[in-house]
Amino acid sequence: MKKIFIISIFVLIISIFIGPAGVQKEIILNLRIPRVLMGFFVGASLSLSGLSLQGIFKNPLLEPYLIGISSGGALFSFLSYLIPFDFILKTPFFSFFGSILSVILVLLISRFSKYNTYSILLVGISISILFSSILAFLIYILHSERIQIFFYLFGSLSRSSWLKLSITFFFFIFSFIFFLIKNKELDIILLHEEEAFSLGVNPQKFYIEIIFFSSILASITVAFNGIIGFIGLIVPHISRILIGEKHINSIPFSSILGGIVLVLCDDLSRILIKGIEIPIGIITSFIGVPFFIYLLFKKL
Amino acid sequence: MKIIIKNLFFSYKNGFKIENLNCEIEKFTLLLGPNGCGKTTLLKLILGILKPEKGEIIFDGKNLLKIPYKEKVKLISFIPQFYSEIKGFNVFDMIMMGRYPYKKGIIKKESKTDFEKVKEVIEKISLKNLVKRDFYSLSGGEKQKVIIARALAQESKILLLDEPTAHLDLKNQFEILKILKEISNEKIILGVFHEPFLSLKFADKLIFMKEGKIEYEGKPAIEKIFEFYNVIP
Repeated sequence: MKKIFIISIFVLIISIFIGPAGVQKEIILNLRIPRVLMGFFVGASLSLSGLSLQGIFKNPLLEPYLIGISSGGALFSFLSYLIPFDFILKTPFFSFFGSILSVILVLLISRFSKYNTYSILLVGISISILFSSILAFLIYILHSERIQIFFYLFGSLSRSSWLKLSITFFFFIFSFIFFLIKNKELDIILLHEEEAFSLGVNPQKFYIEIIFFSSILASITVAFNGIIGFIGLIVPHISRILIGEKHINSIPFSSILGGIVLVLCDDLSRILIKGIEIPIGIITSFIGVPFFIYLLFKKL
Repeated sequence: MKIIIKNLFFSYKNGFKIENLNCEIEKFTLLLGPNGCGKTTLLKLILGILKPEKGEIIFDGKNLLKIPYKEKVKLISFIPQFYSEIKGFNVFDMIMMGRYPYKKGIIKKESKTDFEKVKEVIEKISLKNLVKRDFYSLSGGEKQKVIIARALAQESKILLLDEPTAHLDLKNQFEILKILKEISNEKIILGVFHEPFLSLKFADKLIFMKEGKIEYEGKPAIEKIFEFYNVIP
């Protein structure tokens, strides 16, 4: 744990100085630092969200993007801009509503197959495609700027600010503490349903709490940065291999590792092609899709 | 000490029913019957994960169906057929999970009593040499002993088992049944076993179910098993 903490500090410091615009004080303070820190907490949030979802569904293939949480959040984040009145948490609030709506839809439809591992995944991917398509359609007919579509569907940290970072940080810490407090329940839920129930953790009630907090984490990241897929899939998997499934270890480890991975992906997005910033979701998909296929075949 | 089941009714959406089930469970009771006869359903009804439509499950003068969940988990332990393949938990961690119902406060920190109880159980089931081993790396027999130790740490009065020896060789089956027999002096054990002949040697009572009904309740006699399975030795 100490090692990964030191690595994360190192990655954060280096990343602040990576980019095409040089190292002027203004750029560092107002653009780079909030962006790098945003990348860290977005990565940490998505990893923690994936870790908890994989735990309760006992399915290593689940993550916020693949079960529609992110797409629901993105669609409703966009819808929030169409509402005339304004308040500080308007977009995150709408995003959270969209995420929860997606989960409810996925779970309602998957109920017919008794929440079979693959049916949750397939329904989730379908809902995700549906919501992304509705979003793309709305953006297409309401705006003509292609950048908007890219921002929502492939994610970007370019709109980071100190205010957005503060809100993301607050919700991350709030959820992180919740998951840490619930580490023993999360351990027990890894057992068979009857075993968990007989030990005092009622899975049905616990699922609701976990889905609520996982959705908070994913929806906040989507509201400010668009959809960034696969981080919630890759990072918990690596974390399981490196330190096992005991949540008192995997919650902080996955969070820090998720933060490092996303900051590095953002670095790549800025320097890979000179003069062009690649949306970060494209980078994470390039890494995540082969990884997902590998996991899928391993499980089949 | 016994569990008295009175007029229990339960039905699944697929049409399978348990109708007016009555029986008494005591000491080491063996629950047998063909596949799909309702054995696991009965275990789940006693555990409380399924709710009956009607009836009572009486233990120690109280109806288990009306006891609050937090109290009930101190009374009943469940041992499944398959082990959870979780990584990163050593034997001590796994047994400590049995103390969860007794943990207090938001953080649910282990108390001195929790540690003492776990150590006591480790001695009792002779798991001292495995304490630091990863649960995932243990053999089937060792894993099942750890799960029994966890149930003992839970200090429950009732132990429900769903084919706990299904994947074990004869030697390990024998060892597990021996441990269960010893435990049955202080707990009620209700076990579904895939292999009836060996388990019958250790049981104090036999209940045979067929199509959601009790077909036989009484002494564990091998002749009864031949009769129910319609086989001539």
